[in-house]
Amino acid sequence: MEITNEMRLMFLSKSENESFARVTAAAFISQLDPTVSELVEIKTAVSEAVSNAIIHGYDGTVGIVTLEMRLFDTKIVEISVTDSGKGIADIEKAKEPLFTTKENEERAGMGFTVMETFMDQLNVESEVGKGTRIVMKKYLDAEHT
Amino acid sequence: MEIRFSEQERVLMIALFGELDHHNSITARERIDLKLSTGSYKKIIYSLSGLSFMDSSGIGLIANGCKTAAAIGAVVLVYTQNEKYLKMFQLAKLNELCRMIETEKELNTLWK
Ligand SMILES: Nc1ncnc2c1ncn2[C@@H]1O[C@H](COP(=O)(O)OP(=O)(O)OP(=O)(O)O)[C@@H](O)[C@H]1O
Ligand SMILES: [Mg+2]
Repeated sequence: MEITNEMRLMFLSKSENESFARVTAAAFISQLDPTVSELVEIKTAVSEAVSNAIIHGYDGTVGIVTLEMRLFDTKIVEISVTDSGKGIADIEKAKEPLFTTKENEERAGMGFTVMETFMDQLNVESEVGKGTRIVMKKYLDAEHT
Repeated sequence: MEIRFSEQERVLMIALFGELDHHNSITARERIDLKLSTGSYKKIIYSLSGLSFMDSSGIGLIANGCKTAAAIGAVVLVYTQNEKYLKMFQLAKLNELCRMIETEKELNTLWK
């Protein structure tokens, strides 16, 4: 398995950048010729991870969010979203459907569930006070042309 | 994003257009809450057919609408044919809070 292309994007934790990040991700991935369905799933997962970094990681403060993507010759895409925000104390709890620490702001607690459903792999690394890194993988349909 | 409200008798249609994410959901929620507080509705229909993107912020927005609607004694219906949105609603068990309308035919029985 060899890396065929790679990118890194850094931006401020402003909610305006949520659409910027997912549109950029979609544009970068287009060279792997994804299906419309795959593209929608990737855009949604990126939106979830980036929103989480902004809403929970930095929680109103300004910091840097990093989006990285790696494409492999086997039509696999690896996407990571990293923040240096407040971190997650209990990762397993955070991943449970409907669990949110921002109930009063009308968050549904569904971000991690959506990422897990739309991507093939989800890995969460986090340290309280240091930050969070989300790594997701998707295996694109090799059959379709 | 854009929100269009229309009313028929005591039925309120909330049609959403554009991209519904965390950024856009903040003002959308304020506008919808304001609208719901000014009328006496028995049914509220969210139409998502004009959306070009929605993430879990859409679930939060509609779940919030369901809570507000319950407080004023109204029922909530959600119209979409988008299978990704339906998948997300199903994961969130949103169908326990409101009714999903998946066909135009069914929508037409509720809205002329
Ligand atoms: N980058 C992050 N930094 C700190 N905490 C996080 C981060 N991402 C997620 N969390 C924590 O995990 C919880 C669950 O995240 P998830 O995305 O599933 O739901 P949510 O963001 O609360 O709601 P939704 O995504 O439906 O709007 C959050 O409420 C928050 O406490
Ligand atoms: Mg989230």
